[in-house]
Amino acid sequence: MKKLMLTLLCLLASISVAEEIRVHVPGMVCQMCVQGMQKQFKSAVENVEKDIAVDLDTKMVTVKTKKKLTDEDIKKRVQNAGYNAEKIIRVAKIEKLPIKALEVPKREIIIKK
Amino acid sequence: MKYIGIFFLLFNLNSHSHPVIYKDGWVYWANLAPDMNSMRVSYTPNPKYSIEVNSTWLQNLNKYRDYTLGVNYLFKRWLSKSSQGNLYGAVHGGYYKDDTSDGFAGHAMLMADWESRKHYTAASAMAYHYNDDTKIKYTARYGLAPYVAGMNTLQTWLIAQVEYFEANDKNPVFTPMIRFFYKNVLWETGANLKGDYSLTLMVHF
Repeated sequence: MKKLMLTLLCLLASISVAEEIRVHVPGMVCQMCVQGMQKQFKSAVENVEKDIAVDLDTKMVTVKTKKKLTDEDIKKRVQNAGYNAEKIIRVAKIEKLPIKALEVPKREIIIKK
Repeated sequence: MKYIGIFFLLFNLNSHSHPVIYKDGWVYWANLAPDMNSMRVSYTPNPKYSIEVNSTWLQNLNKYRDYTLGVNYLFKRWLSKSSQGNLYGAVHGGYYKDDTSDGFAGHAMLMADWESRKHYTAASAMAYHYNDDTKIKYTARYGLAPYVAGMNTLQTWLIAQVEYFEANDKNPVFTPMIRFFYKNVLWETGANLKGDYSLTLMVHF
């Protein structure tokens, strides 16, 4: 029983859920907009270059964060960059699966005729 | 000579792009020409306005130098699906000194721009007051991007600029320019038909 509990605790500790937030921001046209979004979402991510993407074609800002950002918080950050958030889409992503613990040993199956 | 000096004073401030940026954003801006240097630093505490200090040095105007402090304000921003328009104003006041006099120097500006990823237009009226005299300069710009750049790629603009300044013999001055914008660094250079050239460097943080 103790072993089972310990295993479960290890499993829970190793799971990391990140959220990908996609914000539609009309009017973004230049590098200044990119800089503004990076500046405003910097405190919510681990790596500005990797975790914040601004697509000037689709006018979409994508932020990968482990922090809980409310819609109001997101709208405020976008406003501080000088724009308005039109639509917010959230996608939960499990980043680190406890692969070792859940790994199923590989077995070779030989079918004998 | 005085009017030439005033012209250069205005010319150096013509690239007053991005007077207000994002919250907690800093702008360091420098303009260099053979007879003139100008620098400004601005801080945007709120995306509606910024606080700016600037200094200008003019060799041809009795070694004129001014130091001003002021506010730039974003009156209105229009956001559409794939473009934006802005209306800005600015008021600066400070001190000037040259070889013959010194006293109050003031700048006031009204500027509108519209930009998509392919086209850029701007128009501004700027009033300058010093030595009990006020002059107004009008500037219009059109820029074309030869290609559409994405995030963190080099953006290039080919810009045609026309300026009209009442103290400059009533002749508008045409200046072709090229602007590069990469990440947080913008630099711009051009030369008018008289051969006067300038280089502008702007960095955002």
